[in-house]
Amino acid sequence: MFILTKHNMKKILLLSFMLLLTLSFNALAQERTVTGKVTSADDGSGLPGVNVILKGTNTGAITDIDGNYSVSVPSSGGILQFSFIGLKSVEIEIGARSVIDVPMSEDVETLEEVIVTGYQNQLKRELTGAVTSVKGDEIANIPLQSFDRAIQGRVAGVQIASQSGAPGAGVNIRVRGIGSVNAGNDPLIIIDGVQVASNGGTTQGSSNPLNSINPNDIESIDVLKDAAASAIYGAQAANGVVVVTTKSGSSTGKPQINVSMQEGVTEPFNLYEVLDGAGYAQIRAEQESNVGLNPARAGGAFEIFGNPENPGSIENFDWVDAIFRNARFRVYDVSMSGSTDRTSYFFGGSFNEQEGQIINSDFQRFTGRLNLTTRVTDKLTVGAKLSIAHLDQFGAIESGNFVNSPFIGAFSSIPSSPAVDENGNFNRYPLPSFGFTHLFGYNIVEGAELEIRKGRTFQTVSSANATYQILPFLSVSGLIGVDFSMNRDDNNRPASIPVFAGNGGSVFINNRRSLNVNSNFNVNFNKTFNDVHTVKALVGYEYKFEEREGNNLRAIGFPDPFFRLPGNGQPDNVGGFFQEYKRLGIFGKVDYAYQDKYLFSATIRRDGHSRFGSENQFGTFGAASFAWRLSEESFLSGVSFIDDLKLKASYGVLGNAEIGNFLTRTNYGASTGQYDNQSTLTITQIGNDQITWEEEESFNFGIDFAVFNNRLYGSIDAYRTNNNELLFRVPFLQTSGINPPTTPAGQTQPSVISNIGSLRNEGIDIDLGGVVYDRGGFKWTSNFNVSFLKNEVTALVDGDTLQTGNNPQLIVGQPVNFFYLVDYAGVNPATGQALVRDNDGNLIYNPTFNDEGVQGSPIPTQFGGFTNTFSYKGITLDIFFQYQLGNEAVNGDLFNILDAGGNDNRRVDILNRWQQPGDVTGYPQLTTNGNINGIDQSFGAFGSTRFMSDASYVRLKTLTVSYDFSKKLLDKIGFRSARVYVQGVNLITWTKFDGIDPEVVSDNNNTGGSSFGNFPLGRIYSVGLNLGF
Amino acid sequence: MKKIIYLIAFCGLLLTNCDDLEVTDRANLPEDLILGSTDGYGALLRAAYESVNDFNYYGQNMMIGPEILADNMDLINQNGRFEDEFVNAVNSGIEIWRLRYNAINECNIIIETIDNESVEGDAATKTSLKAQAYFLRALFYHDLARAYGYEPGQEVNGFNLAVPLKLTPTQGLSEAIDLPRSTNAEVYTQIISDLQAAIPDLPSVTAGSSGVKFASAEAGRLLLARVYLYQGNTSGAATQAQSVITGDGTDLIQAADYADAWDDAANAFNPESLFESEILANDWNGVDGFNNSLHSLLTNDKDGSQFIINASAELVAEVNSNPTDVRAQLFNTEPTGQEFQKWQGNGLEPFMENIPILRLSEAYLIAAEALGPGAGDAIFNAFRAQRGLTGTVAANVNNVLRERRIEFMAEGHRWFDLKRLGRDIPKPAAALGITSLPYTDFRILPRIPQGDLELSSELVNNPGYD
Repeated sequence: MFILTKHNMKKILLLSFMLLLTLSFNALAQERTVTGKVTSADDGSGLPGVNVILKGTNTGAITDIDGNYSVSVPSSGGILQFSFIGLKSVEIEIGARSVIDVPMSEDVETLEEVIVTGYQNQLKRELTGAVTSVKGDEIANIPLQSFDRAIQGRVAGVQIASQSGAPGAGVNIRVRGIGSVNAGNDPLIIIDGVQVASNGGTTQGSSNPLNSINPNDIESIDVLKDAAASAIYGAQAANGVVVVTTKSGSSTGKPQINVSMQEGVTEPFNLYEVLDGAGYAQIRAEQESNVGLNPARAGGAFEIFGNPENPGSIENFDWVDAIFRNARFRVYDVSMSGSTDRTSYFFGGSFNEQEGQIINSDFQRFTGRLNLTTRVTDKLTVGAKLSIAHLDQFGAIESGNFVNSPFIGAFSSIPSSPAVDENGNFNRYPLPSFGFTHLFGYNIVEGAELEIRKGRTFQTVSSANATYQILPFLSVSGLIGVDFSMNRDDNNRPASIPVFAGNGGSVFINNRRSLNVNSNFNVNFNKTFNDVHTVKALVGYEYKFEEREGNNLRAIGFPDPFFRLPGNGQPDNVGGFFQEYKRLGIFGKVDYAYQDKYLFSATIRRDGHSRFGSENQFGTFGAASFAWRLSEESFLSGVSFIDDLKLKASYGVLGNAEIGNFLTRTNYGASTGQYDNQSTLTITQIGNDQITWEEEESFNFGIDFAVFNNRLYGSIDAYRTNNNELLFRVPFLQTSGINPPTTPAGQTQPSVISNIGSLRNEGIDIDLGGVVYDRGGFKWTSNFNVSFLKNEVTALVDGDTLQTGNNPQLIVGQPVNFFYLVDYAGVNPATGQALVRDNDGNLIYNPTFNDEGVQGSPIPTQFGGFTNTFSYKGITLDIFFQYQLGNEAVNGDLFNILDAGGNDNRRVDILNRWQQPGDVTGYPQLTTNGNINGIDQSFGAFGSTRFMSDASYVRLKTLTVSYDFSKKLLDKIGFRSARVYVQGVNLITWTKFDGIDPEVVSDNNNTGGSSFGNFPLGRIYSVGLNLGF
Repeated sequence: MKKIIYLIAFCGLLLTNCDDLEVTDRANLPEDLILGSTDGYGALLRAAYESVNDFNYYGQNMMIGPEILADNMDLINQNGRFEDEFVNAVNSGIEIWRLRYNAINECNIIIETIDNESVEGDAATKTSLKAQAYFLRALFYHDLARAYGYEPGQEVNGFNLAVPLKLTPTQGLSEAIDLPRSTNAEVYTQIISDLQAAIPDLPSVTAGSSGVKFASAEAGRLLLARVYLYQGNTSGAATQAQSVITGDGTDLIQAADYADAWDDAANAFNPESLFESEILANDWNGVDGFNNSLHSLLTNDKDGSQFIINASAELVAEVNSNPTDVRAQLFNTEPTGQEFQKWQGNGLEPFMENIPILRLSEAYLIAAEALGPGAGDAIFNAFRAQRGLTGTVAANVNNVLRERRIEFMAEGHRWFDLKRLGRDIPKPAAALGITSLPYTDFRILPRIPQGDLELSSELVNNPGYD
């Protein structure tokens, strides 16, 4: 029974519209037939799928698998237009001929670049929005596990920051700033039509959800930045859209095989230089004597750590050297591409093995891909893009102040307490003779060696599609895509590590499953009327759901570390989680171009989402844009140096719904444990079903140009986005008795999701490229991009400040992220005690919360990249710099290794500490507990600017020297292509940052990362060989 | 052509039929189910019970904080914990605010809504759950009152604010009302009223039995005695304390058995316990014991304890000043000094043990102090005899305070005992830089959590924090 509801109504209307569209174009009567074959100008093979249209009419045909076509034309003749995406269009006067064969050549002009904008393809010159493309060959062979890392610095307006230097680690992508506080900031990522999930990897270390895609399989990455480009995605588009297309079969009949091999080494660099045993003994003795203890007393510092006067007698163990290593990696990749009668194929496989820069950390991946397109009939094409990946990671504990993290322990462990004895057996840490505990007794080398932290993930991101070409100008297509991952994590803490002996060791197994399905159905219309009016239209429907579920168990009490099956121990704990959402949308888009000169585009989309309450479940989004191609105007036709010149403007409203799945509901869930062996329940969340979508109002003005015969080209876009109805977890009183959210950890205030205000991002993205020099076989090309960004909270519903916990989290007029600290003023030379500035600027010892203020922001104000390529006779030198400027970072590691008290080993610059009246230094006097007169010298309760520094950097990201063997030589040995290269990554960094790696720091561009114990990036050297035959 | 169009139309219809936006949160339960029967209320009550052994309450802070802020503990190792409390640094103190209000809300929901007709379950169950919720709410408010405010009659400069009295449930945002801090007198009145409501409906329990993991009439009366004592109502305190005592010292642990009584492998519940928080294996995360347990912080356990605290040299000297005191058996000599042997961590998992909150010996000491010299002497000396102390002494405040210091060492009483009497806080010699904290020093009261201060237009901070 079909019940007519408001909902169904919409569907019926939509369907009727589609049918109407389909039926309204009847074929016209014809008079004679022209046949012919369209071939590739390259190799003479037949080209299937080419549109053949009688100019100015609806009449047309499509070439068959061999390139043959047959089209009815008036007896008087006319003009035949041949077009195919990626090939240069051809127009031929029919005259009296009845057979017309046409060679078509590849369209190499940058202006004819094809942009994949989701649900359709467009030529770059037709665009009215802001889009940047990165082609697969720009990022091929960079030894990074996911493509998002590889496009860092290559797309204006897109800021990419690593979350970690672990192989296969995640990155954060921010398109045109940070548009949201609590709803997500990640762009929508679409791989071959599949809207991929942002989770699914291992929990035993940093993991990137895009790891399952081999970067070498990628044909192109298109980043849709403004409303005009991305509005077709409506409520998913506010953070930008990244559309990834993997390679399709080549049009040549003969299979093309490509093989590549790369091997190299990753070395850690710029690690902290910490004190040796003697230096540590000196610090400890001073800590004691400064508080009136005699270090020479029985049980004093001299007895435990040695007498610094006699450094030769003091043991010295290099913990940093024992943890960090030069790591090997290798990448093998093979692909085969071609086409047969009706089918084109791309088949690829890869293997990647990468050690981490610390012991017992690695990443291994196998990928397989098969992309197929088959022309079932002249009108029906079906295709599939299938990928599978298997990942095996051994992760490290990172990004936090954890005693069992190598990135804390390696620097904090006491050098006079060696990790191993002379027989190579692990020592107790610290040595029992020390008589105290440190780092919970955790020997970090032993922990890193013996604790197992494995994650195994199977993932497929695959889609199937069908297109029916009803008429040359009208097609319908459908797609179903799936992103499915299964993951098993193992964490074994064997009893052979003393700190785990207490409960007989533990085994933790976590099984997780993530299923993400999206499907869409759409109708495409594309027709030119009267030779000058080109109309493209698209209507469609989309449905998506995501379901994630996990179950885990822990067993303890293993008599022998060898037995690691949970059944060998005793059950200890079971847990799990469940998440689900559903989403649907209907959309339509119309592009109209007059004489290729004036381009108009309008998009509308209506979305529904399960995350909102019944009143606000649906939202409508859209955009309108206009572009003017001045270079087509007659008044510029005389200006010969202008090849292309386009002005464009767009306005639109996009949505964001990237919040938790069930925030509208008040929930009761399990409390922290059981009592009396029975369940406990508490209110885990207060819901708000009045919330509505975040809305991003986006303006873009841009200019695209190419001059001097395409020697210089580029685009400049200025934008402003106002993000309104910001979704934010608004804090309320602890005395209400409601639990704060469990993530992120450490929150004190309960909160409820609400729409609370607005923020603004505005900036300018500049892309410039050109051929600087091209003479005598020597060619120098250069590409530069820079983005200027300003981020600011513009309004809050309740006052000028929004407080969470101790500090304001949002302040009108400030960027969305900032460091709220007391201003460190160094050390009083008379007393050795640390000073800060109060809010009146006076120097004081003991600040209160009133003395804190905004001291910096982790959001860069400028970022981009700079590439130069020099080539001469097959030798190519490619140099790529990446940079970001204007952001600060707080380095939490320094709280440990520059602490004025405590047991941790210190960085060598602790020797600059204040020792006697008159010493001018920023390092306070050392004491046993880091307090002077009851004041914590690190101001831990507030945080001070002492450990904040300018985290701007410029990095020589990659440098590649390659040699392509000459065609003459290749012909002799039967190869199509051959290239050898050497490459370096992260070679040089210019920065003032006081820490290891300014790229992997706290809150770098809203990463939400930790300021403690981050896994720094390594410096990579590699050699590689690519062969084609 | 027609066929194809039908096919396309059909496919389109198939696809557009996916229009369902209904989702199920399979990890949580809806409110109407939980609050529909006494089973759900029982689970809420257990959450409040479970919160008692949280590390930010009796699981750690409330047991160690009041000792190390005063003179019973020496910090022997710097790992970040209790460094500031040991030297009474500014901004140190016992922070129990958020989790107590969390548990109080669970009690409030039970007290205010369990009698609704829509709640399935018999009247007796409802009465029992409500009585237990009253008991727990009284315990939580008393701990909040003594942690954040001065006791009635001991105010410094007349500052008499305790904590906000939130007595209504929060089940939605509109109920998260902004309340001012009530005066200490008001808060004590409420605590007493809660206990008087609870006691008649609570069951009787035998000290040291497994029943002490729940509220009982005896626990209620002992807590009421404690509250009266803090309030300065000595006659009320004496009456309630004596009502719990069932012998002339014979109901206490006998001197010869004293040390063994603290072996929690043999005695899951302390033989003197009237209210004790139970910890079972599934309440416990594998690393909790190593990171946070009393056993880890106070004991040199080779299997990964932190061992950052010893008995202070001054406490050890005081215990040893009487060579027959059996409580000296709870010390163990380590290179760093005297280790507490009270928390032996021999429970179901390493480092795990139940935590006594109200012990019978407190009834003796409250009665002795409340009755005072003369009237209280018999009870006081009956207690002393069971601790191996010879002779008789008068039940004056100083003598009782000395016994309380030793009897409840490492149990979180010392700071509160000194504070309720308005005494200056002596500090151990090992606490460098501070010899004593005068009672008039602002650091006797901690800071009110900044997050709530910022959000509230009613709350005021304690004096000295601005």
